[in-house]
Amino acid sequence: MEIDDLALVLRAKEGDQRAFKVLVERYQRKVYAVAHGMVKDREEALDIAQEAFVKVHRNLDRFKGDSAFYTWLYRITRNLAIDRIRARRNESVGFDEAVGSEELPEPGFLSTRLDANPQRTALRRELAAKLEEALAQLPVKHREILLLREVEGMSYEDLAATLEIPKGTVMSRLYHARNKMQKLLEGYLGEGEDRLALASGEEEG
Amino acid sequence: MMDVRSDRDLLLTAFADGELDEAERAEVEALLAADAEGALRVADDRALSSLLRASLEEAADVVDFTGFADAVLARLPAARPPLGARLRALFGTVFGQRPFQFALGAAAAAAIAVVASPYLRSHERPRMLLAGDPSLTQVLDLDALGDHETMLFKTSGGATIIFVQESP
Amino acid sequence: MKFVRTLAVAAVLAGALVPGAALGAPKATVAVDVVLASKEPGETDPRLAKFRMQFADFAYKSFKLLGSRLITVEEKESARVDLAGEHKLDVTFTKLDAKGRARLKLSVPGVLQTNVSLARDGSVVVGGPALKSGNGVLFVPVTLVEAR
Repeated sequence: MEIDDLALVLRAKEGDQRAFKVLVERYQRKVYAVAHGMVKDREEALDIAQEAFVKVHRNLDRFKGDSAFYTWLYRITRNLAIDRIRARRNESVGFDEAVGSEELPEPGFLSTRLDANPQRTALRRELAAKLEEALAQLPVKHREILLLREVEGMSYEDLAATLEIPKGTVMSRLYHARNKMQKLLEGYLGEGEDRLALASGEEEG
Repeated sequence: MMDVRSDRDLLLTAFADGELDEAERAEVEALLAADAEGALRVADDRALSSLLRASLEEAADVVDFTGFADAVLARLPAARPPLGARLRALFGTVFGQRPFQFALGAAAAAAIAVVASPYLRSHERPRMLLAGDPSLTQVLDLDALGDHETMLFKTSGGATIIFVQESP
Repeated sequence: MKFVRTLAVAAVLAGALVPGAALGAPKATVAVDVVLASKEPGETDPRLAKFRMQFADFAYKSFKLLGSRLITVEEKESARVDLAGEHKLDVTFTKLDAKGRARLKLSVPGVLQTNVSLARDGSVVVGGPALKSGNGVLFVPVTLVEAR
């Protein structure tokens, strides 16, 4: 049986470390997944994940329960990841809402190829590897919103609370982030399809 | 500079994410029936979501989280005081509010008699469950037995709850 | 005179042999309520309205009062209360302290054991034992009504 996050937080505030441990175990994988998606380095992601929980614990008194615990936790995780990215000299963190024309992916390229391709398991595996490369190429603001959306299935409202942006901006960023990802994967798929065509006689996996 | 995304595009994004209410969703579904391109964009968004989720799961799957929580706890300041001290700290505060009045009626005055029936008799005074000032309660010690774990809670309403569950 | 003295000695000796009740051993009157909490939406017994407020932190949506017992236990004695399903609660009145607080040992066999000190009107809730039928979990408020 599961106890609400808020009940655990209340206990943790009283000094009950067992309650806090339950919270850590509940979210450790997802926090790591977000951190890893942001920084692309396993050790660094683990360190960020640990630091996020330590920071949460340090600031428990500030958590009033007027928003979901996990939005607060992910906000801290995301901010820590961004600090690490900023510290790297070769990556900038662009947050300005630069708008302009962008090339859109061909509608249906991803879904139809995944559905219709007889080698779709191999294709999925291929894409999974390319996905990481594509994510790394996204600006941070697009990477983070995709990660938060998919790791926790966060609603737009929760995303807005976590990232402290308006809901309209959430929708807009998701739209642009997905377009960019799909465009990048479209490029990979083009290469991938040639290889798959050559391997069409082989067994899957 | 005008943004390329239109309201339609954002609507489709929200539709793919299940963020529309019932009426809006039905409207979009009707529109998509005649909009093949829109339907493909929605399918692409969902395919991408599915791939991303799988990728994130995989990234976490390769990590062994055994000991992770303990490592976090080890980084926390101050060792945990003994149970007795924690409990004294927990219950030492007198709460100012008395949210309930414990209504002692005639039935309670005759409490020497053991009530044979297991159910509350209709003529007994309605007792306010969890009445009283939380400072009247002290948990001195607590032991879980068998494959159980216990946790001590004090709710925001002031009740003291010993919660038990089976160990995972 | 000797006869009277003998009678007096006999009375004292008789008194020493009589069980505690006759000598006025302390008794604790304890209310044990059995509440079934469920995560399914549903009605909550009006008697549990205040109880429900205390559980706003938890994920339970409806509460049903299964029963209430008022038991009186002598010092150093125990009483067993059937809760629901296979669950039972043993209440031992350990002692009455100088301030009129009752020390009770509460035990759910095989599950937990706790020692609590309750002043009059003080209560503690034991929660969590699940019903095998899967219909919810039990919360058992234990309240000291009186101890003297």
